[in-house]
Amino acid sequence: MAAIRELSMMAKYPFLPEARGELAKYGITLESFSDPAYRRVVERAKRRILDAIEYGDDVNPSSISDDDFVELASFPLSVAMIAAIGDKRLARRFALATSSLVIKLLESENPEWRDEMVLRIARDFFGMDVRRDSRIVSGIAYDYSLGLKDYLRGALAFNKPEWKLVNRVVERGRVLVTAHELIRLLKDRVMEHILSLVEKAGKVGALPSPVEEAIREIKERMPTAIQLELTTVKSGPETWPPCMRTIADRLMAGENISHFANFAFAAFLSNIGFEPHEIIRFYANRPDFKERIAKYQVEHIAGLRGSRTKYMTPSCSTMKTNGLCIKDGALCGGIRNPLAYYRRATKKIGKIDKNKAEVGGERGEAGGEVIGDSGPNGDTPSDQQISGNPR
Amino acid sequence: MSFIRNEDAAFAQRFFKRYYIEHGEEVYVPERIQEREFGYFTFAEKVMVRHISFTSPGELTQMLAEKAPLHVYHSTAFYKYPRAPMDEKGWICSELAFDIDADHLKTPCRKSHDFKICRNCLLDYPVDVEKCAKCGAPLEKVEWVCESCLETARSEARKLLEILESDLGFEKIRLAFSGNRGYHVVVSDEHVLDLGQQERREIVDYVMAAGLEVRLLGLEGRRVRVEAAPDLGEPGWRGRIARQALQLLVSKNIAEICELAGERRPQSLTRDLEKLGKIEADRVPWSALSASSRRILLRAAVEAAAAHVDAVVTQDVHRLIRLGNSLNGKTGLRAQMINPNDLDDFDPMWSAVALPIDEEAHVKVIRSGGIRLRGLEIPPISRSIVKLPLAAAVLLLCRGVATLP
Ligand code: SF4
Ligand SMILES: [Zn+2]
Ligand SMILES: [Zn+2]
Repeated sequence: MAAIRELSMMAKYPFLPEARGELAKYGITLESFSDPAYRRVVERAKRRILDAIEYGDDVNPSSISDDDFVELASFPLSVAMIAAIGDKRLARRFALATSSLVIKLLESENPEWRDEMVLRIARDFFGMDVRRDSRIVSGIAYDYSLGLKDYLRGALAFNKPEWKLVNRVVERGRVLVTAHELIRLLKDRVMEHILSLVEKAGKVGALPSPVEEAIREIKERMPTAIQLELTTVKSGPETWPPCMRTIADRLMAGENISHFANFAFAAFLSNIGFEPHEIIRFYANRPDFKERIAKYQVEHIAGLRGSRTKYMTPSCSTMKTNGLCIKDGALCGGIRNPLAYYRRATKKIGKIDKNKAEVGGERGEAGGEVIGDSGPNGDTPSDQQISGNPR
Repeated sequence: MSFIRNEDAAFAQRFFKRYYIEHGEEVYVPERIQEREFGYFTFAEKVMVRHISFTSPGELTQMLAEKAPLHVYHSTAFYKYPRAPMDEKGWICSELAFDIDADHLKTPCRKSHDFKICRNCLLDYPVDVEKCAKCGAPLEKVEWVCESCLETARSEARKLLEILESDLGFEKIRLAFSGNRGYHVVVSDEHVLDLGQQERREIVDYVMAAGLEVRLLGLEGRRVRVEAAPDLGEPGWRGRIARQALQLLVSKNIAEICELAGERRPQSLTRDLEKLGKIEADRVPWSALSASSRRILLRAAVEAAAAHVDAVVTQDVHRLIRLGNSLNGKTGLRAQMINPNDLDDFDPMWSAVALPIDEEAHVKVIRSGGIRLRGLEIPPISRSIVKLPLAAAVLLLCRGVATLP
């Protein structure tokens, strides 16, 4: 790590505009990499991608080189290679690993310099409304305040109660955050940014042969896309309501979906008779997929763990308030629970598997929110939630 | 509930029309009117005319004077094509709306003043009766609105405004009485306009204190985590909870605390409060309370301090909302716009009375609770023909508890 500390800022955070400017000085283009002199750069670019494949979110800074130029130049090259490979799932995993590396580097900076870097990235680069605000409230030392909108934009991705607005210190439209939390919020911004870089890079024409060679090697190490084999259930997605089909499509594309959507989907599949291991297949394409955790959560929803209550599919009105209903139900003919769609569709094609499908208990109006907020993650049992709206 | 006979509706509409002709320019004209969708109900049919828009304030007032609608609404959203069908409108952004309706608040007075009527026989019944004893027809429920209902709604609006201003820092806030028993609050600060449903949900959960985590307040378990426990001067929910809790403790009103907390067993709280003796006004004695008393007190404080709004309305970015200063067809009262600073002085049964009280009309009243209009006390009426100030007559016709004789 000592060596890493010595690296220049641009080498550590090569996605920053300064870094691009610096690189431009050297006047290298993709063509340049046909020159064996740049072998180490190509090697490092490949390593960046292989590390992403292998470790994902768990990458560690150990394969960072001690050479500023290699770090600086290998980053845009790895982006170009990802674009050339053109696999969405890989791109997401790469973005995840890269952003994960960025925050690990940030966290390892000495505190003063770190705070300055964090502010610079958050405010100047991402245009976030962030101010220094050092205060101790409730025994927590806060370092910054964030404008409501920027806070919400970032925090919605997290499901822990700690991130929920109502559990934050909010004053005059600003939300207090610790340095650690701000860095966590930056991670998602960096990830989005890297995905946009990949998109912008687009497909490139012919690549210099050392790069082609590296890509070939990467492709060999890429896990094959996970195919769904629905063996125990006879009815496929054509019998699912549009909301569930949409969630499935997004999962298969490796997109991150909200915690509630996850919950609703897993509960739906479980209710129509999917086994936990079949449900998990849908999550395997997520960039941050961790089989053990996913399995735990799904088994929880399916009622195999914890409270042993089987969670019921949220009602259409709950789906609606969570923005998951498609076309306001226009495609579903006035049903009250997504299971009703399935039941009707399977009846139509006469394929219902009576032993597997449990479509009896539908969740009513009360909705799955509370469970969705606290159940599947197992962070907190739901009886510890108090809410101001029992009416 | 609406009018008993078509003639009743036609009668009321005459005065709605007069209001819009004479006072059309008092009706609120929403900003960026060209980008809003409008909708209205006519007196005759029970369907909403939707997907209309106006290019100028004049067009709107002209429509009101011509059609004299029963209810009129506009979108909180801005659209590229406000007249197009929903999925082709081209949503641009939307104001942030909050709806407080006494209907959703469990006002205790409710049981005492709601009733049912038979429209055929013009008879009234208690709420638990299903069918008319005379003709056997199903009955219609009348939800009366009393002063205490209105007061409850006002206090919810007050809490909401405080949270929106001091915590969330919103500045452009419109407040209006609904013309019946609620309030509407619309926030139009630039930075809220493009918030999505999820973000709006976080905001509505915030004002309702939904999802508040006891563990994070340091009050869970046997021992209070003193440094994490809410303190009076703190910002946001923490300070609000502490202040409300202290106020409840000082009141020593155990019945109220338990009622708020939905708690049936006050024993531990009673014991703790006795032990507590005199309460200092500068901090909440969290540590002096047992875990269960703490839980009850906390739940009560949150319930008392939370703003109870209709969460669905806030999340919906396509909502239509009643046009400010237009007439509400359920009462004939005006959906009066109010300066948020004047909420405490606002008297709905004075300021929102827009129809004449110096003219009178005869109506046959089935049943009516007491009404106070512009300081005029009208006592409860039962099954009789009476002469009433016009505003009162129209109110009873609109509520469907009276008909023309
Ligand atoms: S109506 Fe129900 S089943 Fe259909 S899309 Fe909406 S939420 Fe899903
Ligand atoms: Zn009858
Ligand atoms: Zn009442």
